Amino acid sequence: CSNFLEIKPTNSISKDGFYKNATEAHQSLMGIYEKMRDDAWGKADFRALDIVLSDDGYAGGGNTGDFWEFKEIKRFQTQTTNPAIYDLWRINYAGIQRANTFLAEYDNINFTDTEAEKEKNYKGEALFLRAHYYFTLVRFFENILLYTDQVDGENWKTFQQATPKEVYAQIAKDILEAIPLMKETLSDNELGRLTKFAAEAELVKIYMLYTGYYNESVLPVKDGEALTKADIIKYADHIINESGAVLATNYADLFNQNGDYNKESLFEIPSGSLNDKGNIVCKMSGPRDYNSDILSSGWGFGPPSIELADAFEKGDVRKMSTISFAKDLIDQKFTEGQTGLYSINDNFTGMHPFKYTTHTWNKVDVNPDYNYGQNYHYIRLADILLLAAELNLGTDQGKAENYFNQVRTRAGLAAKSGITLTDIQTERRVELAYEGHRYFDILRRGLSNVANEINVDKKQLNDSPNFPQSTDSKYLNGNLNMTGETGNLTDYNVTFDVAKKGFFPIPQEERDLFPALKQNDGY
Amino acid sequence: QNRVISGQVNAADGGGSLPGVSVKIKGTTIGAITDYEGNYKVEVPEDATELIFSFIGFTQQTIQIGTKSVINVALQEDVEQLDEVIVVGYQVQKKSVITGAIASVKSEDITQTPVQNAAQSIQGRTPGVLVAAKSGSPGADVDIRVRGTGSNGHNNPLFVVDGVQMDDIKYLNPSDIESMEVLKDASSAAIYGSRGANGVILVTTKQGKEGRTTVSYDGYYGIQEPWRKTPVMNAHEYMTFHNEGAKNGNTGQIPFDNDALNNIKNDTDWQDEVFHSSPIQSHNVQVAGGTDKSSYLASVSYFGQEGIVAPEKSKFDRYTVRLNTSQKLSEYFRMGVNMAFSREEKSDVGGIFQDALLHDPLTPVFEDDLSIVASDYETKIPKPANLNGRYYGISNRNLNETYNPLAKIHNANNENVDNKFIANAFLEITPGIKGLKFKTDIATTIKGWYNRSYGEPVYWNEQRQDHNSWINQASGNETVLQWENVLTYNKKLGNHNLDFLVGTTARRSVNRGNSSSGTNMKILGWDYAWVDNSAEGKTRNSGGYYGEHRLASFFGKVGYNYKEKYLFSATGRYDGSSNFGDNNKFSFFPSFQAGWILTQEEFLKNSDVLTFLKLRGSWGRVGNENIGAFGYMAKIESTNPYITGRGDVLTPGMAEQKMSNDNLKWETAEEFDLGLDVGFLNDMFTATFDLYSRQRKDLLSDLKIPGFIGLASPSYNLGTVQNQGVELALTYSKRNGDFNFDITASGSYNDNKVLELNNDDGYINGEGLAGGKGNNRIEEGYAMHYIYGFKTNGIFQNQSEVDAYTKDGNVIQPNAQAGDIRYVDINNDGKIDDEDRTYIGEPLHKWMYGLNVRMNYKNWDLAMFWQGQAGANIVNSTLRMDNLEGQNYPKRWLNRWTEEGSTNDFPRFTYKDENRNYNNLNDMVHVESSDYLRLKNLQIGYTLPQKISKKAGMSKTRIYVSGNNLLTFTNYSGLDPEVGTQTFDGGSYPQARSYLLGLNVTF
Repeated sequence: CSNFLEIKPTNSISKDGFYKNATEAHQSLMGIYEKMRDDAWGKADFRALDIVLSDDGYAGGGNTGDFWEFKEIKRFQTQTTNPAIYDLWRINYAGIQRANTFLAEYDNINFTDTEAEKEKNYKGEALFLRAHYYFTLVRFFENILLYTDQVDGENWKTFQQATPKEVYAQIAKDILEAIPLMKETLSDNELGRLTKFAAEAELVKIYMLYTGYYNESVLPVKDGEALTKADIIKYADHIINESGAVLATNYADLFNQNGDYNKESLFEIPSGSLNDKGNIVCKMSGPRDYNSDILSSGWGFGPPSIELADAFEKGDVRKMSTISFAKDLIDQKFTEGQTGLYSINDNFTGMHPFKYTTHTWNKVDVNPDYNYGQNYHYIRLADILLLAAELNLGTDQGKAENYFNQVRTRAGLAAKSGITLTDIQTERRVELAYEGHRYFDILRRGLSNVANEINVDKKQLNDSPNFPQSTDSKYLNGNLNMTGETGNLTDYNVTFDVAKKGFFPIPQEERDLFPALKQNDGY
Repeated sequence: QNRVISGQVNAADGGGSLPGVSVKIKGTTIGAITDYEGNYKVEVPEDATELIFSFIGFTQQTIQIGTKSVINVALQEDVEQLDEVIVVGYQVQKKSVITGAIASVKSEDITQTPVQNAAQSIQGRTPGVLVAAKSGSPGADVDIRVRGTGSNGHNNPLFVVDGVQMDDIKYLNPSDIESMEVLKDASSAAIYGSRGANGVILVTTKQGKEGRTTVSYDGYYGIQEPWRKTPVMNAHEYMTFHNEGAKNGNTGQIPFDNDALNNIKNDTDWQDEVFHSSPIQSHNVQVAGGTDKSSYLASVSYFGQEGIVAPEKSKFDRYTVRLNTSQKLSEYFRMGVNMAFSREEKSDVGGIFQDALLHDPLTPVFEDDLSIVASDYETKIPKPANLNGRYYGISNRNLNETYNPLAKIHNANNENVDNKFIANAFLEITPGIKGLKFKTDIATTIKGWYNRSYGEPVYWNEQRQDHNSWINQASGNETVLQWENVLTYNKKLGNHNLDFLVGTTARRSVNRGNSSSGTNMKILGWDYAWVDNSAEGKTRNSGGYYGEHRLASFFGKVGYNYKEKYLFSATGRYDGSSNFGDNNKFSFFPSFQAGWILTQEEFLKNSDVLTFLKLRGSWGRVGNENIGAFGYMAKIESTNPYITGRGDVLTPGMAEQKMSNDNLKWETAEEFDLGLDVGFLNDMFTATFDLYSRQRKDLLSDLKIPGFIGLASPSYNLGTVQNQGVELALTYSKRNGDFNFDITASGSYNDNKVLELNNDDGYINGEGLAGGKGNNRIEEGYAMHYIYGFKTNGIFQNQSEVDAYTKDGNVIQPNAQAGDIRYVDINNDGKIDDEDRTYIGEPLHKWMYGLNVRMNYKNWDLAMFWQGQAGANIVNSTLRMDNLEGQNYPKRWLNRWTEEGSTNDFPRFTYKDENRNYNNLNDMVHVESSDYLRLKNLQIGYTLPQKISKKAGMSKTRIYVSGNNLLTFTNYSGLDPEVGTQTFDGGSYPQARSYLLGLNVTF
């Protein structure tokens, strides 16, 4: 009779019966990867958070209540109950939990002799992904729980918050262990997975943030020797010389139809134009109620700051790939006598982000229509070239300028000599805007400098000679001029809260359920 | 020497001749059956002494033959209510000796009101049982709660139809039902163990009877209409109201100028446009008959109902065929088969009521201004909804997802079909030992279903467009096999009566199904709406599933009574379910009952007033295993796929995603019941009274765990809820002379309270107010599900009242102005925020009552049925806060605050809701009483005199007119207060009022 009652699930398998062979290993590896593009409907998206944390843009949206999670963040008044930060927290921990379980069960998996390469690669990728998820958590939340065991019964009750140094040391250890195990190149059907160069590239970024923010000279490695600047320069050179990545000839190609898996990309997060697999930041960033050959209707998120637009030098081809101007959008569609061609969004600045947006070439016929299949180039060669320039600055100035000018001349600008750290910082801003790097680039200059960059204290709208771009009546929506900033002055102002040290609070839900968690400073 | 005796059998008191009466010679198997005029002829042997006349529903009579050759008999109707036989779990019992709380509804009640679902006929007739249609939509499901809400999960009772366990009885033809018994208390339901926690409803279908073959027709045809409209503002009111909102919101723009106010082009009443009168009908033909060895009943029926909204798209049709037969094979064996086939077809229009209530009245149903059509409508991509090129009007009032309801109806296309075949076959063995019986019964249910829905590209309004056509198609089947064996033994030892029952059940159900969907149809139109016609490629999706559930049970019962005076019984069921892990696979469900019939005692035996008095008490434990499968198991499931390679290749991922709980077990309920059954004056007055207390333990919910664990919350048993209440039913019957009547009044009170909730928060939040703050909540010390929101204390009449509302010198509502709500600072912290939310009502009625009157005078009969509920609130949440500046408002909002002293009951209207008058769920704007009293049915019938019927070849003919939901008394301002058990009414399909003409004919 007991046998009669024993039935098995049909769409899942008991954990005891899993982790047996290479196919299952691959499936669970993909389960770890999958958390990388889980963005909780945009709330936990790296780029979206960077836009609002940095001085590159605003939250926007339909009205003052829209995207309120991001608006709190923008004002550095993030509530501990903010759902965006909780999503960011739990999604990355889900990735960590999956990686921990995979690595703990790894020895039970039976790889055949011909699968030896896979056995190596999969483990390396899982280690690196764990490091990646921890890096995301530690740079947003700082004082996080660190655990590498799989969750078993109630063992989670023993988990503890580690110091940032301990977390970074674990991250470095995992990456160093992963690098020799990972693949160097991917075949076409493996695209979307990560290579050892992605791991090295992220290691360079980790070193820069850790040593910059904490004012240290080396990156600690758990059970190993700390990584020095010289070590990191070696990794950077290795990427630049050996990875096979090359700068795209045309900057615009990175964000158009040719963008996905561009040769310049080192660490790419794929998305697909399929339900629940898309890049919702695209839909968020599009102009509201606008449809033309260029852009399709979106939600008006992330209006660029005038400061960003003004940061581009004259002749910089990157500007037109980074920002779309309302003036151009209206010109594109305008016929005589029409007004109010599209809707004003909150914090309407006369501009919209143009890298990851509702490109009409990318519009697909799937429901719901927010699943844009544009991949995210999380780390690309230009980023590493500029970091390498920074690492060599003053010590090997020639090498630094060489790397720097490769990026600069590609943008149609003249090469520079005698470059300074400020030059590199400015170059990074215009090269990498809207790609999720600006905020941490500011943060790693040290807390005392952040407010200088981030704070906004406007005395008037359009406080730039370049804005508004026209006063022609065809750009009016009601009495609002769409070629410049609209709305209330106070909605633009930002004051960085140094007491919070640039980090998010530990989510309230977590502290309610696990009171041992200490809240971050300033909250 | 045989001789022939003949005669006629009539019903006493002028009830006319009785066909089908069995006439038997005592001590033999010789007999006859009366013909349709009540006449019989029987050949009797010399030694015959007595004739026995028997007929169901009448008292049996024995007549001495003597030397008579003509024997006419008048049979008395059996009015001994308390001698009725009642079906209990796996047995029938005399009503007088029943010791549990069991309510019974007979066929005449079941067919009195035209119901699409037979379960609805229990409503108001069984105290303590709530039956509420989830909506008035044809074919809508019903919610049933036996003695309050017991669980935060599954709450519907178990149905057992002729011994077969079913989840619902919508498929049944109500005319096929002989009786329904509701096992209310845990001890009566305990014999159904792990499926009994929500009560058990036993349904017995009609069987053929020994006697002449009868053919009968029952049918009605009627017209339905909405019982009322919700009053909303007209065009002029709408415009002035919005002007006021804009002015109060300081928008700087006044939406409607004098020109607009004075030249109203359209004043559309959307409810007039969407509501229609529509038909409802039912036809049923039954053939029944039998001999002393075999019996059969066959029926076919059709029920059809069209909606009072979009009758062409909102409808329900049901076709049923039934054959019940039973055959005595030999002295020791009897077998029988019950078979039923049903087909249900349903389509609906979805949620259009919110649109009908909210859409502005300025927009016309159709835009017939050709210049506007040419310059505007024709240029839209995609095309706006149109009927043969005539465009449905589009609002320019920024209504977001609120669309022209007729356009929405036009684009709503769906169909749902269920085909069900249900059969059970039994073999009964009576092996010649007196009182011993064995029955084995094999049952199967085979259900096949499919559904399909389709939408076309539509430009709804400036904010919303559906750019692609889409199609969803799904089908599946469910097969249930049940095998049951029951052995019973009765023994009488002097004054001691003993009965024993043991049995086993094994049940297996299997579900399989497929679904597929696509977009961008190659050919548009409902006729072409199949997935094959959608675009090939990545927007075409499909899925398939398999699920299984098994139960194994052992049960038994011991009953004892002494002289039918002292009554005891005990039952036990040992149940195993595949839904649980090794730690909790099986569970035991015991029960005890005792009764004392005082009127059997010497001191009461001769009372003329008190003719029946029984005290009874019971305790029992039941379970609910319907909590989903595999919650106990640590398992690896597929994740959202990752994307690899060029061209978006979906690559499967697997991971553990939900924490497991290997101690997960079923919910159990334990209940005490104390009851009293009384009969006065030869049972002219009867009363049944019950007092109960039920605790449901181990409620199932998700245990919240921290997000850093990286797994979803496990299922956990973490709460206890208590239902306590009283039930009373009073009946007065008069059954003699030309004027007969029965009046039954019933009422019940139930108090629901959560006793324990072991998650860390101490509460579980449910559905919330869309776009606002406040929700449904389960919390210790409160009714299960209560409305969690803000308490109000009048309206600030002027600024100084705002300024004077302070705590420690600080103004509590700094954003408020004159005309705004004064909120109660519940936590007394000097500000109004989420922490000030509290209990502001509960959605389930505490009081239920009903009045059923049935009378006849000669050939006329009249029935009347009132039903009501009290003690509950509902959140009238039809309005959309994101449409504040565009939508229409109920007339109730005209009672708003306008100036000092104007009202203290409703806040001012403003576009800028800075005080959150509408966005905070509160007891002034949102919560209303959902109490109501309804005249559910009024029926007047006339039975043709027999002389006339007979001439037409019929033995009985009755015609009747019937009205349903004729009167409703309620203060609720929404469409209908009867909206199931939900807390939020976002515009539900109202009940229809209907007028029917019906006919019952027996040949």
